Amino acid sequence: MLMRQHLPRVLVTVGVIVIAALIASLILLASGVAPVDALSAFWEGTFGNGTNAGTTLTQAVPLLLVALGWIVATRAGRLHVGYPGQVIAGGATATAIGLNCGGLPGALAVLVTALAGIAGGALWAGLTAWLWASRGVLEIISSLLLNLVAIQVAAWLVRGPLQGTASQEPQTANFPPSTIWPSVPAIPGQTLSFDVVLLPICAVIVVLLLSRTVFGFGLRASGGNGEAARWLGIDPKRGGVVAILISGGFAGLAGAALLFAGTAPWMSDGFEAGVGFNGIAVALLAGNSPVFAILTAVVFSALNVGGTALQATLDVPSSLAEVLQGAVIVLVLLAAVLARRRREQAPAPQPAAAAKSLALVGTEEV
Amino acid sequence: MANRAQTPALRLSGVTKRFGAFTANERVDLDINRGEIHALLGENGAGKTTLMRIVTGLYQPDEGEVRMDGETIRFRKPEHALRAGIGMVHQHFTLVPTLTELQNLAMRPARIPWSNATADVRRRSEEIAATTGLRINPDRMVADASIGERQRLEIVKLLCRGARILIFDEPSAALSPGEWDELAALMRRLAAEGHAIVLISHKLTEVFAVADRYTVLRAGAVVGTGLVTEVTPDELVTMMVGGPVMERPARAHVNPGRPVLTVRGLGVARDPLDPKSPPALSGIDLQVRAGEILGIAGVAGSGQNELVEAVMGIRPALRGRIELDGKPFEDRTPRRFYQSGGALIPEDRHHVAIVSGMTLWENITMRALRRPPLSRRGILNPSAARGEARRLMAEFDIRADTEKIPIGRLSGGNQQKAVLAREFSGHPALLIAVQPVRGLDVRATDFVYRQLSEHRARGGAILLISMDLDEILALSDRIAVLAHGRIQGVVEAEDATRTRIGALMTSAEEAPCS
Ligand SMILES: Nc1ncnc2c1ncn2[C@@H]1O[C@H](COP(=O)(O)OP(=O)(O)OP(=O)(O)O)[C@@H](O)[C@H]1O
Ligand SMILES: [Mg+2]
Repeated sequence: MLMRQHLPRVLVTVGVIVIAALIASLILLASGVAPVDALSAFWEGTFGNGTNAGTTLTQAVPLLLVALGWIVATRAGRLHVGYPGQVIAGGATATAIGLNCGGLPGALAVLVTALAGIAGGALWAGLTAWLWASRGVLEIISSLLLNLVAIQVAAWLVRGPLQGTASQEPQTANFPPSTIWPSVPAIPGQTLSFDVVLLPICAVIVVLLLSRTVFGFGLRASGGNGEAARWLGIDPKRGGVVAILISGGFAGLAGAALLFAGTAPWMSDGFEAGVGFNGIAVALLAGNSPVFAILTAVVFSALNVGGTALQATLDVPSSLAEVLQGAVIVLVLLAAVLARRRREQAPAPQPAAAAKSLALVGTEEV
Repeated sequence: MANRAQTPALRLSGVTKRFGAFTANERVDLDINRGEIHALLGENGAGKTTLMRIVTGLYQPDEGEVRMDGETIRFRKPEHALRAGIGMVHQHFTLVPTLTELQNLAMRPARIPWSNATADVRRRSEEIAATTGLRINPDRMVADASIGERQRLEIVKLLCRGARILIFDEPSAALSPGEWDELAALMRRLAAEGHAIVLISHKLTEVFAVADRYTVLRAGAVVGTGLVTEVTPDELVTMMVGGPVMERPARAHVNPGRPVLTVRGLGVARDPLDPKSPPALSGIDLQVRAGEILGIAGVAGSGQNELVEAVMGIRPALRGRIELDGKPFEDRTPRRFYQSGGALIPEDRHHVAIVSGMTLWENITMRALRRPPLSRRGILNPSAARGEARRLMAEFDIRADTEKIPIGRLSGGNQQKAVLAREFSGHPALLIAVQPVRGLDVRATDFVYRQLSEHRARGGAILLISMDLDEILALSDRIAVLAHGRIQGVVEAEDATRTRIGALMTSAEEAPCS
């Protein structure tokens, strides 16, 4: 039963990966690299050894966290795109607090940075939520604009209040060692951060939240038909606000993870690195299924890490990874549109649902 | 009348449609001739809508073929069917409320995207007005049009596109009796002009009033077809449900108890955001007691929606007091309404009563699920909820393979039964029922009437709002007549006759108040 339910999505994913691989081969051939060499370099760079596999898995964590935020918000019918801004806000808050936590014991310092990230992301998202709930400002617009604000604020922070004293670079001082999130000592290079446990834990939390709690039930009802929810005594505004805050919290935690479980122990203004929007793509590729998003987050992370490896070993342009990610996104949307055409037993046309259809393509019923 | 020798406008042969393991239509043969009104009958879930969705290209048949004027057709989407001349008036209109009527008519997938169709459409609509008498109000916003007028616009829209086969899916469900009479006359005129018309309806009076031929579906298969003049209502019912429907028992006498809903001096503005807009309701006084059904009679748009919304707390009241279950009901919200023992069967099922993307069990338990025993400390107990849903499905005869199906996939009547099951299952002190049998077949209608009577006998209070005067007369203990936002009078059941109620409804027109 479970298998049959998920089979179409698995097929779509496999199809997307195969086609993306074909496109990649074409680009590689065009730039004079044998696809076979590229494949082995890609594998070596992503999962070939413990160090690289550790990097791939660790880098999947922020992507998944953002994807989970997107899933919660879309389930409540709130399509905001403020993830980059919230990642930055969460990361900056965690940095500001983490830089002053040198005296705390390790476990506590790690917890404080994580919580600070969550709080920062949620507060930033709170602006969007407040504008939507009290002023009726469309969340998609306000969040998009707030992204631009967050980028500027981050640029100012690393050149002003948070700038490290050691150098004149636009970056903060190094984080105190106790605040760095621990990694698995057995892996050479210590690339595998313990925060990979967040992958299954957070996915399961979101699944349970949506399917097993009164709150999640209200969220899904509000997202499915806000007017009906209101008539049935569920407050769609309250649900929408909390959903936006939760998604901001996840994005903020992603920001903290990028910094404190990342490669460099400081914050620079480009640390967000596209995670905010790629996280949305991760969720869409997973058909908004939290568990499936673990897999797609790893796939996206592998594209990133592998792209860098290709550049290093075969001198392939680094933009290849970006082209591939773009191709994956386009292919996913294409697959979703085709699936929609095909799925003829769509229930009676629903005006409200149609507007959201693009973002909710292939949405799973939890 | 149709010439039997000519090829039928539409011929279905052996049409079969399956959804997974479930067969919605089984080897259906159906002929629709030009110039005839063909009634398509059957109980809820018999497959009527599905069959017509196949004809209009929304679904593809698994087997069998559809011929139009003798040629096999296979549409992939409704737009193709419309180009070929087959149009369907859906129960849920496809109009854009913020555009004018003319703009709505001009909206279509254009062949030349930048061409301005407005002038062309204006000319077409004038032609249609000349031939059929169907007049539209081109520059009025659709939002300001009544349900009947919107439906008329929907029909004009199809005629503008050149539809020659018109399908009406339960067109009268939202209409007042007067509007239905107009629609019936229109259907006759269209048929006389050579259009072929399919009418899906659960009201046999309508069928006998306008249809020439009938076809009855049961469990997806044709069980009978013939001329309407050669059949009796009882025979049709037997064909549809497989046996006659029992006579309804006479209304038992119940002594009404304490007041459950009291409304005093309620005034509501027409525009909820603008208190100075003209009133939709003024000076409403009502009382519903335990063990009593208070019927509200009135034509559509007399203020029924505003009354329900004000009592529920969806719409603010300008003045007046409301008491629910003996206590003042002040800061009204839907949630407090339910907590104070209220329940609601709303008129607009699709928009306010169900979440079509969620499952049947989630919809049935939509309110119970948020309280013990189906949830504790915010944690749901899905298996208990599914069990409860299965119990209610059996009790209310909701036809679905499984409780896990999205409710949007159920037939219209079965969705309505799910809403009824949810609202009755909480044993409410007060039930507000607006058009509760809308879209239900004869047997389900009978079942709902029994449920309402039993609820009353158990001491429940019911506020029954309906545009169907017969329904009001048959069920109510007292009848309040609502017209132009005022209660024109309250009549005891013993003294209530159609003429008396009708006189109260029209007396208001002489004393305009808005
Ligand atoms: N998309 C779908 N997926 C699964 N089952 C469906 C779908 N559409 C319809 N059905 C099933 O097919 C059956 C026939 O439905 P249909 O809507 O045609 O009934 P109907 O005769 O129009 O009933 P009503 O009078 O209640 O409107 C129902 O049991 C319904 O659950
Ligand atoms: Mg139907």
